[in-house]
Amino acid sequence: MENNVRILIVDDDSGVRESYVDILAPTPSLEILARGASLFETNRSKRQKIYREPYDLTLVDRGDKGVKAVEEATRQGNPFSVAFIDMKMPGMDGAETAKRIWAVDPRIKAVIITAYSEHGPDDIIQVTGRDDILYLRKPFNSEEIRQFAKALTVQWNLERERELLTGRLRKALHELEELNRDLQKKVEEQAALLIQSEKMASIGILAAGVAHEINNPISFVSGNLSILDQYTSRMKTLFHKYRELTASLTNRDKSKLLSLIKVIRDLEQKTKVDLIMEDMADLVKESMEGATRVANIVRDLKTFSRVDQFELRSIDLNKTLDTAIHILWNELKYKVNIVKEYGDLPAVKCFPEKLSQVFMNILMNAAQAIEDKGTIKIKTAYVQEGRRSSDRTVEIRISDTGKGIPKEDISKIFDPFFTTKPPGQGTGLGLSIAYDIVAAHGGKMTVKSQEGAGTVFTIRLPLKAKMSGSEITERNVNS
Amino acid sequence: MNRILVIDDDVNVCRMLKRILMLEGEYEIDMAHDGKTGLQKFEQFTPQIVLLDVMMPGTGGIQTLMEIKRRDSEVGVIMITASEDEALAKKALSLGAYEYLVKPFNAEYLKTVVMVKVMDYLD
Repeated sequence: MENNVRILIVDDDSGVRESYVDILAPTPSLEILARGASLFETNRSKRQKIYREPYDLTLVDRGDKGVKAVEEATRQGNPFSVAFIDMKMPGMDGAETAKRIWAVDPRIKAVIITAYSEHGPDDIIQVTGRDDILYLRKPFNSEEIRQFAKALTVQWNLERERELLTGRLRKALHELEELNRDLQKKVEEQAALLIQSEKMASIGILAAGVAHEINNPISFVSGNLSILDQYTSRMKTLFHKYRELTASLTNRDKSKLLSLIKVIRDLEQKTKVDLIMEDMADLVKESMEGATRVANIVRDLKTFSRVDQFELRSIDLNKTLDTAIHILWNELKYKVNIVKEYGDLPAVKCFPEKLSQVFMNILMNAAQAIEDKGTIKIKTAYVQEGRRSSDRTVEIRISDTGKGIPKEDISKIFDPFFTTKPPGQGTGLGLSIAYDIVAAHGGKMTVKSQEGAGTVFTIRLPLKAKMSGSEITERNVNS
Repeated sequence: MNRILVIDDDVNVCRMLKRILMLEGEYEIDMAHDGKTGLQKFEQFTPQIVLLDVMMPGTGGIQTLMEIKRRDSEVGVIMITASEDEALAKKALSLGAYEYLVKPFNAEYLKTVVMVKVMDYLD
């Protein structure tokens, strides 16, 4: 940006105005003369420097004209940097002029020129309302004026530069904030998407497990029903023959009766009626068991699918653990031996659906950590460490004999998006969500692991969750 | 009488299979609920046909099949599988299984398969 060297001179004395011109804006001829003189001067650089400051002077003889000049300059966007104002002038005096000039352009550096006998600085400050007004005693010498002009124009330009920089900085900051907001929004959107995909992944596992679990009962119940259908039609055939027999009993035709009895006996043999009679009750009983198994799976699923409804309930966490095991049974049963060491637990006031999500996640991880065959031990206990109600907690410890977590990973396992699974197979959110859920209950979850030996997750929960449903909802986004 | 061994970890599935077979044919039927017991019974009972579940805890269906085939390559092993394990069942065919059935299966088809295998056996 170009240096602003515009200076306003307000003085009623034309002689004084001319001296300002001589001091601050020497004519070219003077400059040439000076250059010529400089050839003979020893202190050359000093003189050259002085003459090189080409101030752009505007001279007026009255205060009101001074104010007008400032107004004009401001309007044109070509402001003055400094104003030298004589104090004693006909009409508007110097202090008043400075005040009005500042009203138009508060940036101008104002210098009041006054005689010794006239006003002191305090009077002038009183009028202008600003204490940064400068003050020169008459008669002034040219060096003073030169120094003031230089110092003040430099100051004005520095201040303007600072303002510009501050403005630019503020704008940059603003843009940065905006960028940050956008980024934050994008991160939140991505996180929500990932949480959703984690949810979908667990639903996928669940669906496969459920399909498998339901398949067996469905297959034997439907098989049994088709057998029952055949039992029924065979019994019907037999029943008709019995009817025939009872109807024949009255006509006393012995030979006919005997042949009918023979037919019935053969039919009984052929239809395996003894086997049917013996089996019928079992078939019905087993089929009803099958229906109950399906009903139980559906009930467990309902528990799981209610994750979006938040309701504090007092429950037995041992049962919640059993539900989680049951839902995951298909994933667990072939390679995992489950050992339950349940202690007697008081009812825990919590969000059961959320906690079963936590248990399922840890159990799933435990099962996945076991490569061939292994054991998952689930131990629960009531712990009371002090007298306050907050000292009463329930501890759930889930340990596995899986491959363990490498030392360098253990500090990261609760971090969102941390996963050791191949791309697309894990979002890395499961344990992070689990951790948040436990924390939202006012509980703690810790992990210990030894590579090659196994992992232990320990969850401590207070008997009463400390948070409300809405808080837990917010903390877990859509999980 | 032809002997059939049913090996499935779900007792109720075993019993239903037994019912289907008993209703029509004259078979002697024994059951086992895991691969290890299944193999023991196989040796004692010497069945002509084995109905074998693919997914079982412990010694799984495929391993049991291989053990059975090692003991008697002539025996007809019919694999029983859930739809999502069909690939595994197909693998079983390459290992010498006679046929596979997908749960929930058709009772008539099972009866036919068993009968055909029995007739094979009698030839």
